Amino acid sequence: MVLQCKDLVKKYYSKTAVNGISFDIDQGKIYALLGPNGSGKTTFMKIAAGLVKPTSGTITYKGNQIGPVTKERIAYMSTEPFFYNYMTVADVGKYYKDFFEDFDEKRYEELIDRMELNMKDKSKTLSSGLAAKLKIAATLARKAELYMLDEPLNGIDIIARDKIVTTILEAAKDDVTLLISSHLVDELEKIIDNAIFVKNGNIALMGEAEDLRVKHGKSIVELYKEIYA
Amino acid sequence: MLKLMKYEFRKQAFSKMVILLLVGLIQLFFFFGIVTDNNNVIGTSMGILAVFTFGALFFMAFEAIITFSNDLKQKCSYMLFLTPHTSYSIVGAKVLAAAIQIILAGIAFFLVYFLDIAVLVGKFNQLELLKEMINQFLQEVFSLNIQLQDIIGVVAVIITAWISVITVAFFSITLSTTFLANFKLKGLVSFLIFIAINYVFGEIVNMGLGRVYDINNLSNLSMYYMLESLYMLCFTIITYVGTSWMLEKKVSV
Repeated sequence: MVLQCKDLVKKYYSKTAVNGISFDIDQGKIYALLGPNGSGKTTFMKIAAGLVKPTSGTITYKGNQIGPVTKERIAYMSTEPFFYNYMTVADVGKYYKDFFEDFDEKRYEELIDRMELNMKDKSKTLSSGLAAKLKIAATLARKAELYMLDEPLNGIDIIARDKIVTTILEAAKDDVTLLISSHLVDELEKIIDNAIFVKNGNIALMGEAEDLRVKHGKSIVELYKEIYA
Repeated sequence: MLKLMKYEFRKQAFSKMVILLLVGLIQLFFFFGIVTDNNNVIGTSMGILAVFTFGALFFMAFEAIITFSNDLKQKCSYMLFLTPHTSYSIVGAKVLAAAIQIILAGIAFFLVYFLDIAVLVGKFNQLELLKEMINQFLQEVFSLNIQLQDIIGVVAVIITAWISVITVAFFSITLSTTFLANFKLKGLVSFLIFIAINYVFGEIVNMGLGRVYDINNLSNLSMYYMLESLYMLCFTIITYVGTSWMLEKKVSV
């Protein structure tokens, strides 16, 4: 297993975003972190990315506490645009190249091309769809061990979604793990190995996608509707 | 850390270009007065430059603080905190970048003043008179015999005190986003903490140096300034370590 969390809790004011969850993530698999908005998916990912410190509990990546060492190996893409306003698409690439040894410049150029972005475009002037594509290109141009993509299909039109999913799948390898959060479950159903359903900061259900289908006699989409309806 | 500093400079580059442009315009105004022999224009431009110098240096410190605040409170904070660096490197880069910018700006303004005074002296051919006037003024008003090392001492105190204020602001902002994050009046509380820390640091300097020197009868100004700078440096280190430690333990962006 690569990512291990135990009794993880994160509280904001009186609200508990993550409520004592424990699970492990194995190497080389594609995980879906499922749940509606506010269920705790983003907070969990931010904790694993080192952007948020947990209130209590532990989380490690290959035995390392979350910190500079894990940030070199984990590529996290947040759901919100986060590039500096002054940056062009090319600047974003330079920034990633400056800070991440695993950043592949050629791959970035290729992905920018595929996403129909222009290197000279300012990140702040991009439409929400193009900004989402830029985030995906910058994140997937890293040769990371674990990719955590928070709502990668948000803002992406229905035509481009297949292209994005294909691009995400290109990163999947035996030694690479993907953790994808989304509420667009039907888009993920066919590509995931494991599913983790998060509800009110707790794990409502988790397991291998095929096992869950067999055990409950339902698709992941149907299970999602049952859990959150 | 150098790469972090590079991006700190880049984030604040636009305002520096604006400052440079405005200084250029003021200088054009000044030289227009020199060429046209218009003393009113010369005097006005020098006055504007003096006010602008103060404003620009104040703005630079303010911008360093605002940039730090944005890097903790806005989504672009992810850019910074996703990089494989410790909080000590991140805050250290910010403190060093702020210090270097203030020092460079100080040098740049000094050169501008030096140029303007040299031009004025050249024009009016009254170097000795000017020097004598300044010395006489200082002796009469302050009863001081100003030496070069004293001037260096004053500059060192101004720079270190300025940097200390910036790091105290970093510390207060960080406090509001970490340990005080769950308090509703965290902004006000952190501002009050900023004021209180600066007051306490000021009192420590007064108490510490007051024991060694008679403030009203200073015979060794440069030593006094050097010690005051050392105090400021210590405060900077304390608040830098405190800020980094809080971010390391409690960062939530």
